[in-house]
Amino acid sequence: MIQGLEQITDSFLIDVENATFFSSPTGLLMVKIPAKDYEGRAFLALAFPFETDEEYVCVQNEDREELGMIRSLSLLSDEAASLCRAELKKKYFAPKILKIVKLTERFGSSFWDCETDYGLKKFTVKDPHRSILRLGEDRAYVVDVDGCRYEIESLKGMDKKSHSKIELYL
Amino acid sequence: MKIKLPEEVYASFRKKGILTDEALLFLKTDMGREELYCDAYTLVTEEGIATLFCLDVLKEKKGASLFSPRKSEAALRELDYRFLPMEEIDSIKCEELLSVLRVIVTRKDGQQEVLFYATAACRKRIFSFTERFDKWRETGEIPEEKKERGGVCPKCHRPYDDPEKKICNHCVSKMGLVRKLLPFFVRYRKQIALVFLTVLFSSALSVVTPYLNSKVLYDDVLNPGSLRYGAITGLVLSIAFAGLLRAFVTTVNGIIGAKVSAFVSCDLKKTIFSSFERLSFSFFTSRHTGRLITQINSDAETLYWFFCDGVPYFLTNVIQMIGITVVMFTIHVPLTILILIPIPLMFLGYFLALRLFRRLHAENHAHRSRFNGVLSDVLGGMRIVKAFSREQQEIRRFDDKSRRLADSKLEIDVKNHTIFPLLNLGIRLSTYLVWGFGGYFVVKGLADPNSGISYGVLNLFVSYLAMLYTPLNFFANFLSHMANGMNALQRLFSIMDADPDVVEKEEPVSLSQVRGEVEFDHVNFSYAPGKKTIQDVSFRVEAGKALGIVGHTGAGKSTLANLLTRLYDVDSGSISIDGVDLRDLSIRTIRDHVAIVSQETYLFRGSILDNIRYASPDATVEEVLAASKAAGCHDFIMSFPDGYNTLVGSDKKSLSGGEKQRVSIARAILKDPAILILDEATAAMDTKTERKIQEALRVISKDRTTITIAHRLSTLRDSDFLIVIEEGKMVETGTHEELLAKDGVYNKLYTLQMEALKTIGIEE
Repeated sequence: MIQGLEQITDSFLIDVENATFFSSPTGLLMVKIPAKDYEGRAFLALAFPFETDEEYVCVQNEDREELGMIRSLSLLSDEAASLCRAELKKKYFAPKILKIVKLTERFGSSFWDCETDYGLKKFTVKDPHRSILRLGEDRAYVVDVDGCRYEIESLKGMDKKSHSKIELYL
Repeated sequence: MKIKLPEEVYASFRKKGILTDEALLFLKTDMGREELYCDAYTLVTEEGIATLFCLDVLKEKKGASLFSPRKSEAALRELDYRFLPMEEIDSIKCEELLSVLRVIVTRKDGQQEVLFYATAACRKRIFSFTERFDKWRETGEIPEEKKERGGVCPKCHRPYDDPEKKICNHCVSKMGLVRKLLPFFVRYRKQIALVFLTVLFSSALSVVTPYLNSKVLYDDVLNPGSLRYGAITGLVLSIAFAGLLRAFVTTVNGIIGAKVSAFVSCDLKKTIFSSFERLSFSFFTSRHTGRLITQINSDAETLYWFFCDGVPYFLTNVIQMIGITVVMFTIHVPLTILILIPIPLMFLGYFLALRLFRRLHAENHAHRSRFNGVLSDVLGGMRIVKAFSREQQEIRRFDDKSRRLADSKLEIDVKNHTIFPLLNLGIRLSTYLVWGFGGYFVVKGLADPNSGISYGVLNLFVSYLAMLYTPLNFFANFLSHMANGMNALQRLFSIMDADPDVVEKEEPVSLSQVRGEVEFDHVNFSYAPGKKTIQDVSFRVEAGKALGIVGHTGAGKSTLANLLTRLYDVDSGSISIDGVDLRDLSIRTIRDHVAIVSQETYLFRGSILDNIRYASPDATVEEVLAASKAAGCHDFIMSFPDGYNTLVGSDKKSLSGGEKQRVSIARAILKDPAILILDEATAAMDTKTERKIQEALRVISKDRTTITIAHRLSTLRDSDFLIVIEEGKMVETGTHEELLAKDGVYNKLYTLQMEALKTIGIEE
């Protein structure tokens, strides 16, 4: 840490020692942080969602104010980590595109029929050159007109037909 | 409430004792109580909230999606059902995640639970549902459902890609677009008829000319056995005349075609510009101005090219091809078939090649954009690059993009030098084939004229072959040109067809005189669903009084000004001027009697005089001078060599922020409005200048209602009364003295500002 920086930043690192994550009777993620005198709903946000989904997880209260940061989910108990993973999965919900069945373009919009890990999805993408977010060389997100995201885990790993449909936009 | 539900859903609810006819609110969403796709039907009755989760078995089987049209209603499988009694419910709210939302119910005991999840496609519907639910719980009345912007196409069930324009790009018909364009051409029907005639005539001449200089020349004029043997002068004159005539016809065609296209393109731009004037402010805030400008210009140019060059060239060649084929068939059928056979193959070859090149060029374009991006990044941020010694890293980044661009260009060039020579070779081989078979028929004809052909005919066929093969390249690309033309048309029409948010009432009230009384009555407003910008704001300003609006950045102060000028309509509540609801007033009345000077000033291209006179073109020079003096801009204008004739706007004389604001104030003063809104209008000025302008404004504001929005509280000290806005709510109201005495938000803000000013040596 840069000298003096810790004095002006109020970073509270959450780990198994200082926080308890648990599920409410109705299945919502809760946290108890005695040092912050807080017990209530926990909202999670990844600081680097395109790079890692296990590290630098920001824990917020209902007003989305930061309670602390989990440097790595591995620093939590197995049960707490799996609760957090489940909550992050909901927050960053993005079906994985397994196969592009059909991709047509009309008047600047593209119409996708895809096989995803959540079943078949049809969606519309406006301005596909801008709506496909490349994450490094091999990974990509497709964002549809409503803001729903779909993940392509590996561009190279896609079947040839699917890849040829999408390569023009990459 | 009458709700249309699939038969099984209706029956299922009935079986559970829920009478759908008694439902107060209804909502259909697309996920379950976990993040899984299914259909969720939520009904609110006096007794509670019932949600039924179903899976469309047909969808499941066929793998179709939510947007697929339902093939049969008898295909729903119930997954889950949840009923929450109303007496247990405290409130419901919607939490936004990223791609999904979740609706949470808070019970009276404080316990929260997820009612259902939904994708972002249901966002507007859900927020409207929760707002209506809250209102019902609060007042016992169910507010009318707001007309949903966006939504899904009733034909293909896909969401509209632009909520402002209810046009489904998936279903829009190309012929429909052309039909819409026809009225633009109809007024030039005489010229268009002439274009078609000239196209026809020029095509006929193109077919005739080779006939003269091949068949007639070799078989008649140079044939000692022919009657026309030796008539070389007559033939040459005929060929020259045909050539001249064709040149003349082509020129006439070109001029008329260009005129019609230019006029149509100009008419289109004018119609679109008129549409811009009709559209609401929100249309422009959600779009990038630069992109709109490029779009209109380039789309109009694309259409100009398509109709001026593309269509006439296409028609000429099609007519020519038909004419040539007919002539060839009448002369020699076997040789004609031989010439025609390679045409589909060559067409396919060009089609595939051009498709490949379109892809390669698109890739190249993307690489070029990235390359330009790095270049603009580095050159723009050169100071930072040098300050942090990042030159080597930037060189590497540049080198990487540059190499990728070079590689993509190389690929295009290599393929260009391989594929097109191959296609040309194909054409040459076809020619050789015609020469070969044609030669055979000529030899045969020498022995027996009835079974063969003459040398003149062979020459004619070779000329025709070139004419048939040359436009293949264009034809293969015509589909793409047509697609570009249709895209441009669709984009232009979609602007023309967009629905404005703010619509003037039929037969609105027009006021020639306005006293300036303003009233906000329980006004609620949000730019986006779920995020209330203004919440239940009520106040009244008597005519001729001065109101000051105070608040932190983003509190919603400027939104109040936007609502009063009716750039947006309120969600609920009302705003009135002189007791008439803004929505009943004509837009003209509002624009004539309400003037706004905002922090973001804009000067149009032209002189300073033009800019001051913008809203009052008939103002006299004396009035302009007086308004400028009152606005404190006279002195600096006079310091410019060209005085009031100094040209301003984009690349002309640039004025500072404070100077621009003063010109804008002069513009507003000259308009002499009954209601003057100053939205941070003096923020870019120093305290001394601001004070001077305030003095002037106080004098001229004597009989007009003035609403001043400011950060700097000293600006508002002389207001008749003040309102304090925090997070869209009106938290305090009173005079400066009353608010100071209150020890509330205003007091805190004032004390903080005074202390800050003291530290930099300014005493207010």
